[in-house]
Amino acid sequence: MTDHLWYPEVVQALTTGSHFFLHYGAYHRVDEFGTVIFDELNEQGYNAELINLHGAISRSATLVFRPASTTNVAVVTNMEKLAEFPRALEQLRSVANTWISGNGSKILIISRSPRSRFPIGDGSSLVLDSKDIHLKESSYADWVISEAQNLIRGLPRQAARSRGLAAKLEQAILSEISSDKVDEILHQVSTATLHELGPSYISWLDEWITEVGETRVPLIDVPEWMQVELLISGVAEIDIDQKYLHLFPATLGNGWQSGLKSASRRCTSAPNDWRETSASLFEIERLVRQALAESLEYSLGRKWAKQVLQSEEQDYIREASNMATTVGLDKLANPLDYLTLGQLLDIAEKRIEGRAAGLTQRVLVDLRRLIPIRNRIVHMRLPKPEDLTAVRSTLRRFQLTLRSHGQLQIHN
Amino acid sequence: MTINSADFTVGAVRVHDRNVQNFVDELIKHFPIANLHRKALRHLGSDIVYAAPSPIPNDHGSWICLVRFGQVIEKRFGLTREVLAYYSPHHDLQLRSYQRLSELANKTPRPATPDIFLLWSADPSANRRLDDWSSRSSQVVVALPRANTTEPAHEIWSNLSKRLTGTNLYDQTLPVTGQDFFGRKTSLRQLTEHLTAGRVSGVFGLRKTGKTSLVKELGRRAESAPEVHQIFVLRDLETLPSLKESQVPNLIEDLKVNLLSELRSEKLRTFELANLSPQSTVSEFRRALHYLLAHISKQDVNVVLALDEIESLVGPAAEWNINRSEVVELLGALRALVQENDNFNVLVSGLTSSILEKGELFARENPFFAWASTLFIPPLTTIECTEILENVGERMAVTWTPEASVRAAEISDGHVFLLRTMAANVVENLPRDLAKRTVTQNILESSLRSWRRSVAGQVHEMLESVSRYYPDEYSIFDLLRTNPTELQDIEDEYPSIVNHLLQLGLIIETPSGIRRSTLTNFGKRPRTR
Repeated sequence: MTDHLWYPEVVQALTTGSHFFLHYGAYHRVDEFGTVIFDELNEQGYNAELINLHGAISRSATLVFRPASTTNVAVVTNMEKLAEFPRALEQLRSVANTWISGNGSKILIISRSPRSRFPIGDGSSLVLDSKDIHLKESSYADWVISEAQNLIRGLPRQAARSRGLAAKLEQAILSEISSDKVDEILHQVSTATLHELGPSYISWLDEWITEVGETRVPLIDVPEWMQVELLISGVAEIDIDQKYLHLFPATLGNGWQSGLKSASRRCTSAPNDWRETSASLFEIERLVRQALAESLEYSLGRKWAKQVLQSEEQDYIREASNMATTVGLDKLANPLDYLTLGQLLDIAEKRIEGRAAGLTQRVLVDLRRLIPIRNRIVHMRLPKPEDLTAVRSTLRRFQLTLRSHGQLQIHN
Repeated sequence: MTINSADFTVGAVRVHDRNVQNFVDELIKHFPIANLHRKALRHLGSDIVYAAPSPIPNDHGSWICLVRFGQVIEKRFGLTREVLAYYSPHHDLQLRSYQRLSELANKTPRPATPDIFLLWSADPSANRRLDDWSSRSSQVVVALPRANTTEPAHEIWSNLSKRLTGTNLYDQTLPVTGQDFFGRKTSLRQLTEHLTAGRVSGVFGLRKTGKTSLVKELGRRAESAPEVHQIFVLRDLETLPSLKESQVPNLIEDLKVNLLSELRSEKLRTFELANLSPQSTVSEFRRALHYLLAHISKQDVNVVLALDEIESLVGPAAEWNINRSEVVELLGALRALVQENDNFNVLVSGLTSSILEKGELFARENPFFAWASTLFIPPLTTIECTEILENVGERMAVTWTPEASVRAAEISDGHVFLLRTMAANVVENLPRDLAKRTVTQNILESSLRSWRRSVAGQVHEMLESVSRYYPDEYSIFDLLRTNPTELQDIEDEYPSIVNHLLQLGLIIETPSGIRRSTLTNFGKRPRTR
C-alpha cells in the first residue's frame, strides 16, 4: 500500500534502473531537506541514506561520497551546490558509479533546479546518467486537499496536483487560515517554483504570458527538453490533443501570475547565461567593427570615414563620442564603434568592403538575428533559453568565416 | 493451474550420470526438499546436473547446485548457461546470502548464468525478501518452492516468469561487458589489431555511445586472450582533482598505484615503480616505467594503459591555448614509452578527438598529433540493433517482431543510448503475461512520444557538450538546423567540419544525401519573438 505516501512514484520508479533525477521544485516539495522521501523509502524496505553535498564540497576540495555499507539508495541532496563546481559534478559521477556497480545500489538525486541547470563539465556528469522521475498524482495529497476544501473556500481546481501546496495547507488548516492567507500560500509556492526553474524560463514565460497573452503554446514551438522540464516542474500541462502546452494550469490559480512578477523581480544577480551571452556579444561586435574598419581602411585609406559615412551617421558618431566638430573622425580609434549594430550592418551590406571583411550575406543574416537578443542583454533583461547557444554559434561561425578570409588569428 | 510436462519435452534434460546422482543424493540427504525440487524440475524438462557444499568459508551447511534447464525454458528466457541454485540451512534468510550468489556462480565447475539464481531457505518470508532485494539489484533470484506446495513445477515456472518479466534489462546506465556487450565487432577487431601492432589508438564519440563499454570489453578480451600475457590498466580521468596544477601529479600517482596492483597480482617486478616518491616528476615516472617494461618484456608481458574521459585532462576547446606544459610533458612521456618499448601501448577515449588532431595543445606542440589512429564510434548497424533487442529481450521473455526491431533501429539511427532507452520504455509498459510480451511495430510506435519525453533532457545535455568540445562543428550544425536547404553549400565550404559531424553521428550520409540524425531532431530551438 502506498496511498499514505507523498511520493509513491519515487518508490515505484526505483524498482528498475539505478540512476534517478527528481526535480524537487517548490511545486512538488513537501519539505526542505528530502527527509520525507528518505523516510518513505526506508518505510518501503530500502536502506536509504541522505547525502548532503553542501557539506561534502565545503569541507574539502575533493568531493566526499561515502555511503554506509548497508545503504542501498543514496539520496543526494543539495545538488544545486554542484552547479557551481562542474569538476565536482564529474568526480561525483565516477565515485558514485563505482559505488553502484560494486553493490548494485541506486542513486537518487533530488534537486530544486531542473536538470538543464547543471552544466556539462569537462567530463560526463552524474545528472546525464540519471533518468527523470515524473511526479503525477499522490492520493495522499488529494486527501489533504479534500480536507482543506472542507475548511477553506476558494481553493483552485486541481490544487491536489501540487504537493508543495498540499503540504503547506496541511500545516495551515490546523490554524484555521483566512482566504487571504491561502492567496499568500499560492503566491509563495508559484514564486518559488518559477524562481527555482530559473531566469531563462521566467523570461520565456513572461514573453508568452504577458507579452503575447497566451497560455496555450503550440508544442512545435517548444523544444522537447523544455517541454519536459516545464511539465515536470508543474508549470505546464499538455492538452489532451497533445498539440499544445498549457502554461500555468489551474492548480495554483491566480498565484501563477503574481508569482511570475515576483520571481522576475527577484532575479537581481546576473545569471550565468547573461554573463556568457554578453561576453560573446561583446566579442562578436568588436570583431565585426574591427573587420569592417580594417577592410574599409585597406580599400579607401586612413580617411575612409568621411567617404563611407553619411552626414547623419557622422553627426550621430560625433554626438555619441562627444567629439568637437573641428576634429576629424579619423582621429577616433574606430568611428564604427559609435554606431548601433543596425547601422553597422547596413553599411556592411551596402559596401563591397563588407563582403571582403567576411560579412557575407549569410553572416549578416546571422548577425541580424542576434539583434533582439542583444537588446535584451544590453537592457539588462533576462536571457531566454538558448540565447547563449545562438550567440555562441554565430560568434564561432563568424570566426570561421574570418579565418577563411585570412583576417583572424585564432589560437584554439 | 497445472503444468503439462508434455509442453517441456522438446530438448528436455535427462541426467543419468552416476556421479551426479551421488552428489544429488548427498544434497537430498542434507535438504530433503531438494527431492521435490528435482521432480518439479524434471517435470519442466530440466534437471540438477551438479551439487556440492558451498565452497565459501563461513558458509557452513549451505549447498549449491547447477540446474540445467530444458530447451523450452532456455529459449523462453534466453538462458545459455546453467543456473546456480543455493540451499541455505538458516531459518532466517540474510542479505549476505543473497549477495554472495554472484561469487558462488564463479566457483562452480563451469561458470553459471551470472545474473539469475534459484534459492531455497526455510525462512517463511524468503519470497517477500527476495522480491524486495531483487527489485533493487540487477541480479534476479527466484525462490524454490517450500514443502507444503501442491504444484511445485507450476510454482517454479510461475516464480521464474514473474521475476524475469519484472526486470528491465534494457535500462542500463553503467558500462557493460561480457554477455551484456553486443556488436561492435569491427571496432573491436580494429582496436585489437592496433594494440597488437603497437599503434596508439583513440576512441571517440558523443556521450552515451558506449565508449567506456567498448574500451572495457577490449580490456577484458585482451586480458583473457590465451596467446598473450596482457595487463590492461583502465584509468577513468573523471576523478582528477579540480585544481589543474594537481591533475598530472595526481594522475602519475594513480597510474603508479594501478600498475603496481596489476603487476603484484601477476607476480611481476615492481621495484622501480614502488620506489617512486609520491611527488615524483613525469620524467621519473617515465624512467621507472621504462626500466620495468624492459624487464617484464623478457617474460612476454604487454601493458596497455587506457585513459578514459580524456576531456577531463585536456579540458574544453576554450582552454586549449592556455599554458599547461605538464599535460604536454606527460603525453610526450607516454609517446616516448610507446616508441621505446614494444610491450607498451596507450589507448585514449572520450568525447574530444583534439588530443590526436590538434597540432598545438596548450600552446605547445602536441606529442600525440597525427601519430595515433582515430576511431569514432560508428552507429550500430541494423543487425547489431536487432541483436541487442532480441538477446536482451529474451532474458525477460520479450520478443520483437522483425518489423518492430528494424523500425527501432531506424528510429534510433543506431545510437545505442536511444535504442536502449526506447526499448526500456516499451518493456516498462508490456504486460507480465508471457503470451503478451511480443513487441510489435504498433506497440513501438505508440510508445515513442513518452520515450522522447523521457530522454529529451539527456539528449539536450549530450548536444550541449558537443558545443564545448567541438565549437566549430556545433556552430555549423546549428547553421544546418536553421538553414537546412543550404546543406550542399555548407558541405562545400566546410568539408572537414562536415566530416566531423558525420563521424560524431550528428548528421548521417544516406544514398539520397546527408540528413540530420534522430539525436539532433531533439535539439530544435524554441520560437522566440
